[in-house]
Amino acid sequence: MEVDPAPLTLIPEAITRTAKRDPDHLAFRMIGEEISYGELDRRSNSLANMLLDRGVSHGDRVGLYAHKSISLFVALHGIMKAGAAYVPINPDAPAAYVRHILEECEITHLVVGQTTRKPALALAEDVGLELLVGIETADDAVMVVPYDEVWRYSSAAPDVSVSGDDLAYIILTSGSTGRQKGIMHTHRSGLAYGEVAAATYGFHSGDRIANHPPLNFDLSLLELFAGIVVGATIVIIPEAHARLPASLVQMLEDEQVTVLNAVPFALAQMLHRGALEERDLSALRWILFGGEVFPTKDLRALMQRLPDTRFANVYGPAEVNGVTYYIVPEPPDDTHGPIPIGVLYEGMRALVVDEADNEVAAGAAGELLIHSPTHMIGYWRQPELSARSTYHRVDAAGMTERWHRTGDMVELGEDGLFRLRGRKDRMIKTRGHRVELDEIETVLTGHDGVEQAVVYAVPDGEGSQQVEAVVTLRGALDGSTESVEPTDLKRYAALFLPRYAVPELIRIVTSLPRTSTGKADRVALLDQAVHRSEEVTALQRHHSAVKQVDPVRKPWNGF
Amino acid sequence: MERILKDYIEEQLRELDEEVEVEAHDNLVLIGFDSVAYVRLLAFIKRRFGVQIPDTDVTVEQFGTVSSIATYLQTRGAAAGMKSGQGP
Repeated sequence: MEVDPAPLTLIPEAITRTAKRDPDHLAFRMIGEEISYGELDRRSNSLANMLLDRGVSHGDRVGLYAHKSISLFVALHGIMKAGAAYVPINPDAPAAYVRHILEECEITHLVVGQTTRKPALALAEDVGLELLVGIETADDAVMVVPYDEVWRYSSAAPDVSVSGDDLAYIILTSGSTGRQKGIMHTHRSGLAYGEVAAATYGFHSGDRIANHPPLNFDLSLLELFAGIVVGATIVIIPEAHARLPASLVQMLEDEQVTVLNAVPFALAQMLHRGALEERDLSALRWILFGGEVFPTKDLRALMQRLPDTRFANVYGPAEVNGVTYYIVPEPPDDTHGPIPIGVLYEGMRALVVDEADNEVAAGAAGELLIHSPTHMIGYWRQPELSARSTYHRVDAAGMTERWHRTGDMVELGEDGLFRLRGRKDRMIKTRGHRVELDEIETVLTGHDGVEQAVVYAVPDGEGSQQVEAVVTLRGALDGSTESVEPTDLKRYAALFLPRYAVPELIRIVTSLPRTSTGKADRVALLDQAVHRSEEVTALQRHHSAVKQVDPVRKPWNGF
Repeated sequence: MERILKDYIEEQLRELDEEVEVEAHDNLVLIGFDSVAYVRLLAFIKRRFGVQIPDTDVTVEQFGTVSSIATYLQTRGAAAGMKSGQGP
């Protein structure tokens, strides 16, 4: 029987703990490269010492702007060891978007990779970054530290005092005003999630847990924190493998992965194009999915294909990390409706309330409020927004508790399971990513030629949604406008938004349908769009029936 | 053949970024080629070169770069001139 280890207060202490007990045990693997817990502990110390030497101080934000590599994960822990907070930035995002994050979070030190080297160097001069970590350059105007220099710093634990209530990481998410929301977590709230997830799914040091989502996607925190808390090995799935299902499945087999956590879309791709029948995935004991609804027919087929794997739906907005989970008892049939989000993790509490914050009757729908040790401390430098998302409640002992307003509408069934029933606002999920439709409208109306833009999400019939827009142009009636094409608008939107938030379809019209109060009629526009997509689907069915071509294949709707 | 693939892939990526340039050894996923783009690419290859590609062949090794796709298609016996009349 192992001695119960001392409780952790900082996220990277989990590494040090395993490094002392079992230094040669592997912490990360990524196609042929690997790093043990002992080496991870030493190298993340070196990185922390380098940052402290180069001007980073307690509470500073350090950006992670790179595609996946083992060094990137070392840096993530090194930043936290230095008493700073890591800020993962989508490496595929346009420069204006990255710049906005750097300015908003006042980031002066940025970890970059070979694929982000060029935009990072351009941004460095523009934004006034003090240091780029992980690359070299001949340009004297920019300070850089390549990794081989980083590893020469002392590998002893850095001499800083960090507490569990200090900021550990900031996850950025779409904001309705066009300004990104920075979700601030402490070591305490991050660890609380890692520990409860590890206990719930029974993770242990022998597990080989895949990291499939990118670091800027909060879904990745599950394996990142729960994995290191138990001293498991994290198998990093490179971006290319994550998008090519045949390679993903091959990697799961080769690496004997025991836990896979991914968005339903990626799992459906694996089912349809991953050649699962040719691979032995008997090591895989858990598939965890979250971010959006898993279409029942795909989930059923995947469960039937992998009968020894357990499946769980995980739910939780980034503001509270994880909240509920539902272990799917058996392959669901079509009568079940969408999979429940299940029950609360241990130590969390929920309220389902109406508009006036009164609890709804049993079984009725209402907004989900959460009280949990995994709760964020607020949105970065947006106190009003933080206040709006917080509900204060006085408990029986007269103490005021902080609760999070999720904005998600739920129902608690007689079976004790929570089910999602939509949103209170205009946030949607596309391919698992949170997108505020208002943010996209703000971006489109920023184009000189655009008068008004209405953005809405159309269900794609695969459990996800596609972003579409209708715009009117300035001077369209008197012909004074220069010609603007939908392609121009898509390229314009792509300058400011990550790829998944750029509308798939933009229609230019002369006038928008209006409601009786004169506002753009979003409901009518959405109805038209849904109707159009149904017509297209019907037409495709008709064609395939008449021409006897290949059976209709599932489209890859992007990821 | 590499030229035809490069032109096609650049055309796809230019839908969102007018100035993008694709090099033969660029990791396509890291420069913005996503799953939808791969499906379109497979349809294009079938149309242009008359090659039907099984799912198991669409791997990082064979479909990761313009150069690796061209090599793969050569081993599959596709020739650049094939079906040129039906190209877009």
